[in-house]
Amino acid sequence: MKWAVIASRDLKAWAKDPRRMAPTILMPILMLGVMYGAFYDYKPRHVTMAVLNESGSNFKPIIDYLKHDKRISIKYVDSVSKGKYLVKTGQVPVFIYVPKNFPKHKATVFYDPTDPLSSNYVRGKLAKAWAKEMGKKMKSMFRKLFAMMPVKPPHAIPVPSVSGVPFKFETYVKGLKYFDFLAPGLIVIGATMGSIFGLGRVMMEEVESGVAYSLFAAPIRSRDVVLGRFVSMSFWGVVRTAIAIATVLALGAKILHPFLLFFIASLSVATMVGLGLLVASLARRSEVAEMVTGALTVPMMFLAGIFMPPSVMPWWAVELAKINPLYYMGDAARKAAMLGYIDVTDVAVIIGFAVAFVAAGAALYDGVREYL
Amino acid sequence: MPPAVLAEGLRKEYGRVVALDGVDVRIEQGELVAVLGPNGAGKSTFVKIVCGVTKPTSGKIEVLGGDPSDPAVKRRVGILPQEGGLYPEMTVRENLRFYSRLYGKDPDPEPIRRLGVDGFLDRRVWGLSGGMKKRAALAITLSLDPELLVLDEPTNELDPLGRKDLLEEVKKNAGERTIMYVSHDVYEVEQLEPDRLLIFLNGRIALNSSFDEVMDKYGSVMDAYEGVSS
Repeated sequence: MKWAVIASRDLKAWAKDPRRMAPTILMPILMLGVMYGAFYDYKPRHVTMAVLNESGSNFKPIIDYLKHDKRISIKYVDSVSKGKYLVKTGQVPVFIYVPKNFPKHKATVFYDPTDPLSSNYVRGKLAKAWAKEMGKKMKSMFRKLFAMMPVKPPHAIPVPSVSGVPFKFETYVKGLKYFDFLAPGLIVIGATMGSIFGLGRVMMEEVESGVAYSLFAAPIRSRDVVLGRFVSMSFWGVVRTAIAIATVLALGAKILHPFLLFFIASLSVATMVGLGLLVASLARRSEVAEMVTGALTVPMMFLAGIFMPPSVMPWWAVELAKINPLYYMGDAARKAAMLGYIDVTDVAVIIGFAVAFVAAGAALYDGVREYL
Repeated sequence: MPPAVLAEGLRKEYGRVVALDGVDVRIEQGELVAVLGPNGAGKSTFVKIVCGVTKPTSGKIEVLGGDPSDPAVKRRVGILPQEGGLYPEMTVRENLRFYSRLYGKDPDPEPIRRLGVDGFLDRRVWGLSGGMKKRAALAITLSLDPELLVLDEPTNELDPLGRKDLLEEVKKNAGERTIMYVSHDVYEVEQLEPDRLLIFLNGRIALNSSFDEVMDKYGSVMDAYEGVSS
């Protein structure tokens, strides 16, 4: 029964330590809540479509049908370039250009590859709307035809299925797979996660080995220690970023703008190094730093819109995601990689998080000296 | 010449805990001072303040005539912390190079040779015995030629021969620089024969006398320790 002595000691030590207990209790609740938020539905919460309709009444029945869908709203634009811009900047997932002689000439559906579920939803609805419209027209035609006949048909008029849809679909990258959607976000995760875990471990080992004591006693200001560490960890994060990009390219992922993605992922690395610094300074022990980091990073990853786009998350999960730096990193990475577009708002928020994390981490790191 | 350490009304609080409660002390340059006291008496906190690791809550502290948290002052102070303070994954030579760059000084090879550290300069610290780690850390500290050397319980983890060698090394350095030797081992301090003895109790200095005076009055460091503790 000697094992019971060990188990009893460990159980008591764990129960007495709030830094261990908090993640133990909160982690499963948090995880399931986060999963529920991240994978709530495959249908988008709401889709705004941009429409430029030059055909007038020919496309109106389609618009009327779409308007009945509570998930869809329509925004009219006055030029093709404006519509494309709205898609490229992520303001709408779909833009439809309907030419004058529609349906003789097909309408162009320009969709956002970074939000495949929203664009798929709209594509499905368009096909359905067109089928319904065609069905109505054929029914009416058959009715007129039968009205001219002397004998009434014995049962309801069969409606032939509609083949051929007067829409062509265009996007910046064609033939995308799910992995292509995932790849930019996965690169951000791959590049940043090592930075958070690595820094916490290094800093706490220094406290435990007495190196931190020597550093605080040495002629170097603690902000320089933090800066040096930040530069070094960021460098390795940038190396990981380059390797991650090379790997997904080798796996055949469609990344049209790898250099822009490299820029966003490198910026993300610096931000997450700052978060690692903050967590390590708060945790004060290596195992606690790792536990807290783990408890933080898992929900952050799932609420980043990296595995499923934010458009399918419930509203509360999106609101929660807005305080998650990975949300902005994933979004900026996808736009950079697939659209070649640098979202200034995302970049500003990422930089803001980096500054806040490093400043708070540096201040807290300086406080480490008090318990050495 | 300013004193090596000058403390007046030094107080340090950690929340509700008072670690130092009005410490007044003056250590002249070139002195070998032993700092004794039971665990929790405040000697480690005093060392942390002298080395600029932490700041006092109130009171005055000057080290070599300046603020101990000033990097220019820190450059003139060497500390051997209890845990050694060497990066375990690096070799002793790499640690030496790292600290000499941090202190902006060319290391003096003599202490390395004298302490026998040159025999394991290229070994990683994590593979060394406790005694070897302590010797390496001391050699690195001495090679940076500090004007004030602070040794915080330096003989922990050392075997009897290692202790003897370390005490001899400290004695050799006495006079060349100011040394603060922190310990809770009264017999070791008696062997060291310091110039002065400070005994900390409950965050205050309970005894501040020359070694000769202590020996004349009490007969041994142990008796002095017991005398002030009771």
